[in-house]
Amino acid sequence: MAGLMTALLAVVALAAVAALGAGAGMSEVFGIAVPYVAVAIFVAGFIKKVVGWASTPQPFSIATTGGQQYSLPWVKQAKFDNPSTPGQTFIRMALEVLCFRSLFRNTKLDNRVAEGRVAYGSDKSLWLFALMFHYCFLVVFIRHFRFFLEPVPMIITGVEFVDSILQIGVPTLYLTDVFLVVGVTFLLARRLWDPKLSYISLANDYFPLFLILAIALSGIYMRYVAKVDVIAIKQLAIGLVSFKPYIPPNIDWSFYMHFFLVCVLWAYFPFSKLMHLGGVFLSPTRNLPNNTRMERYINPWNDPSIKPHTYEEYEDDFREKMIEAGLPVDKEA
Amino acid sequence: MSKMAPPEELMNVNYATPAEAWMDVKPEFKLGNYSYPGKPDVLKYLGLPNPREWNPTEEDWKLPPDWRDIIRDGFRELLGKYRSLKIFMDCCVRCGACADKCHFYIGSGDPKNMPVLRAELLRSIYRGEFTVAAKILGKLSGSRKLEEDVIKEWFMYFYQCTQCRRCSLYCPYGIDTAEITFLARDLMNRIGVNINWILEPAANCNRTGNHLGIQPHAFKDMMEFLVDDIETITGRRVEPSFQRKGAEILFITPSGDIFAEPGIYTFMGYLLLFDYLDLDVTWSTYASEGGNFGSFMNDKWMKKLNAKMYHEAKRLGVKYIIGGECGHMWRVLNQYMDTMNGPADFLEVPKSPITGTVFNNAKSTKMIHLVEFTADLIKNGKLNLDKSRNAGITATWHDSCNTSRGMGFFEEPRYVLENVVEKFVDMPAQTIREQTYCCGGGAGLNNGEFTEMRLRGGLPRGNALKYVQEKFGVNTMSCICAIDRATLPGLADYWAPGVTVTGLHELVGNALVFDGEEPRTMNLRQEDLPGIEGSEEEE
Amino acid sequence: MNTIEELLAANREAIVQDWYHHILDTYPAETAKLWKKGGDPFANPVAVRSRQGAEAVVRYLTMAEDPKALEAVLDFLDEMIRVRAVQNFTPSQAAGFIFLLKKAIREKLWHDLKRLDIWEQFAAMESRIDGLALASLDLYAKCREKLHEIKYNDLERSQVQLLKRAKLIVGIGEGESA
Repeated sequence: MAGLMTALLAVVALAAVAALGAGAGMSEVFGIAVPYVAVAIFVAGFIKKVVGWASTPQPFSIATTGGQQYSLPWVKQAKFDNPSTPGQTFIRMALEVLCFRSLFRNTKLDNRVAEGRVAYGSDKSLWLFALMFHYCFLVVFIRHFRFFLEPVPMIITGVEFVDSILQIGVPTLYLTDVFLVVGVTFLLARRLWDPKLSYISLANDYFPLFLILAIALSGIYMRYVAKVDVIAIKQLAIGLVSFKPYIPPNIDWSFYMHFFLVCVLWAYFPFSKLMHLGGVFLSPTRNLPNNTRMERYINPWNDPSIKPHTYEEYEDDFREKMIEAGLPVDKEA
Repeated sequence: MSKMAPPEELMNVNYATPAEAWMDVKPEFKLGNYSYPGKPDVLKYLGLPNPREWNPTEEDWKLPPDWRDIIRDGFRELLGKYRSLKIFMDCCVRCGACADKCHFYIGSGDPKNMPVLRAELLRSIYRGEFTVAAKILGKLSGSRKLEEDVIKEWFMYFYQCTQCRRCSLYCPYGIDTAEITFLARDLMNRIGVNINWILEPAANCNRTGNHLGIQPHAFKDMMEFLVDDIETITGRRVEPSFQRKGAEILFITPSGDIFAEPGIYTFMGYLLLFDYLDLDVTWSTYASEGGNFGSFMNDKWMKKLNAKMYHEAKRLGVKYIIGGECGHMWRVLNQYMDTMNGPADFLEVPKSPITGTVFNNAKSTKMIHLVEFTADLIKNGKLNLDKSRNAGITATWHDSCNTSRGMGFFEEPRYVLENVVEKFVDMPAQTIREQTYCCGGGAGLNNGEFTEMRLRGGLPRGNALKYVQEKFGVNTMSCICAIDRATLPGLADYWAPGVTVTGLHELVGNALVFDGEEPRTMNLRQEDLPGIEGSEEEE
Repeated sequence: MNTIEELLAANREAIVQDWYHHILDTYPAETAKLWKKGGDPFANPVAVRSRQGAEAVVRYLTMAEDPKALEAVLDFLDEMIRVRAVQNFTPSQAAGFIFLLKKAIREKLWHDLKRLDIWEQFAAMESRIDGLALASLDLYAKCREKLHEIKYNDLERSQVQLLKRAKLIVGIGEGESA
């Protein structure tokens, strides 16, 4: 619980700092200095971490096999759960990264006593909400490019069009806003109410969830309630990306709060478990083929000086007994 | 009502106790939940540090004075050598998908048996020692200081993990607790915290070639007992050879098969099959252990013990190697052997001399699984099998963890099994194949003092077994792992009494019909075959 | 509703639920919370067995004494105790969960018992539960005996050939009969 409260208070404090600070005439700090620093930390931190992983050797090829191996020609291989070629491994990774294949496995037995049989239902709630959350986050992220690009590329307007297809309200409601909040709320709720999860959860599990929730809610407030001056914000954004920073007047405090929390997320990212974004691609139990009897996998630090206790030493140890027992020996006694 | 003593008081159940954070709960060592520590002589033989007499239940574990530095430096070294470790330390989001997947957790309810917490035991130290963020946030970030209690916790829980990898299957980032356990044990070995049932067998395998330390002449004697038994049962005298130079095939199986029940019946199955095929195969007393106890210690000893196989194959000049029914052995053979001790360029790509099938799936290691070999024989109609010799058996199949999640060996053994028994039923889908539950004895936990914990961990497997026993009349569980064959009989006896455990080639040996043979009256266990009266003398 | 059996039958589900929760509360708190959610017999065998056992015992107590029914209920108790016997519990904790049923019943039925003044029946009911507790103790002891038997058998099985060789034994039945 300490972790939960700390994380919550931290996010509230951060939000308050930005809201009050921007109101107190520190908009240059929150609109220019902080974002540059945050993005710099993110880029440098992310690269450092990924390079740190990539430069560490993976000594053994240790795929977790989730299906039938490549075997005799008449045995059907589970190509994407137990890949034996780079192509199959690529598909396995794609299924993992794009469809969260492993979470989908979370089957649960559904004992239908009334029907007198045992059936297989599934516990796919985590898979569903995790997928919802991540994809909505991605769409929201892509949508935000319209603030940084002029003219706005077709692809982004296309995404926006589909996202607001239900045409609810003015400005029209983005579906991903809703689903993002639903997704993150679910992920938070299960940490609070699932006993095994609350037991294992740390402050750094709650913090990103509260932070993302606060970002989403502040964004929603800006768009649907405060109806902030989008043109002015775009001026600020373009100024930042073109390295000609400029603070337009009349930007609502809520923008600075939203923007500051996003900056916190950028800066926090490389030092947190959010790095699973990069790690998932490098996980050796998933990104290596199970072909280790066909192709020799090389370990760069394999130590050739490690030799077995040799047969000769063995024979020296037991020669007489071996001869007596009629076992063949290389050297007679 | 107040005058009656509430029963929970007598039982010491306290409902009001607030749950402590896991870091504040200290491990409690009780007979049955830990394995005995390594003996000083064995440590000395293996060249491992800090040999001494010590007892986990005592306060003082007699760690070396600089143990903190050793662990820190060792951890840093492993982080530099294993990308897997770095990723697994950094990427866990504690989503909980693994939490209820561990057989030890399901059976014991001890939260630290949840794979995520097992890994956090190491991760908390990683954060505390190697990350910036944690240094600022301290305990809140889930980091902690390296204290003796942490080592005690490691000893408890990394020796309550069978490295079965079931949790790894469900993890969205593929975090593999087996890898974490393996490396944690490596660290503990550096300060002399280890268990004897791993070290002594490893030492024995190194010196004598088998884990009990049987000397070569005695090994041969035991083979002869089995040859005699085969003659009693079938009337045939099989003639296995040892260390025969120029043989086509070297055969290596876990040594448990030659001296332990029910492995010996599987061993007899191997001998009968080779005799039936007139296979040019030889055995070695030097390389007579398939199982790799080094793989429960560290990468050095895994390599050193495994290297004996190629060393012997080269000396004898065989063309390729066939491996018997074993679990960890096959994890090592499939995922480590070629990397550590290859390339095996002195061997040839395995080709079945009977069917001509070339085993391209082992074209680099040049080592095939006997079950692949047998499945190919059956598919090509090369074996005359009489299922009625296994009549009365309703079999189920236990997928061994290592061949399942470290290889993917599912159809071949089922195909063989279906061809040698009349009735075969699988256990419920979420307890077999890649989702199979461990027997509880893997990774060096198959020792006598650990039986109680092992039975606890065996509950999920036993429970599924009992289900098919009651529902379909299953009376036999077959498997391809020596540790299974050692562990499952006890597990079955406790959780599903009445179910017999067999190796696969025991059933093959039973069903195999030789040309012009004398009709068999008993199976390899010397039990009367169904429908055949007891011997005539008794009438 | 005048007899304690009828009272028990009327409150069966609530009492089973209470007792079941008391039983799971003998595990670490976090695990207890998780297991109380029950569910899948293959993923969560401890909870499912405890639940089925609790139901069977309470149903048994709602009926009059019957040796056959007793046998059936002992099978259920066996399923529960078999699990608890290898779970690091002391003997009293492993076999004593049956007394927690008393707690569940007292808490649920106290007012009705008072109102109907059927203390004699209540005492008889508690005696029946005591009987089950004694039977549980037997079952527990059997499980522990089994555990040691398994240890012994494992040891013997693991080196059967070595014993054969060391003793150079001859199996009776291999030669001529006496």
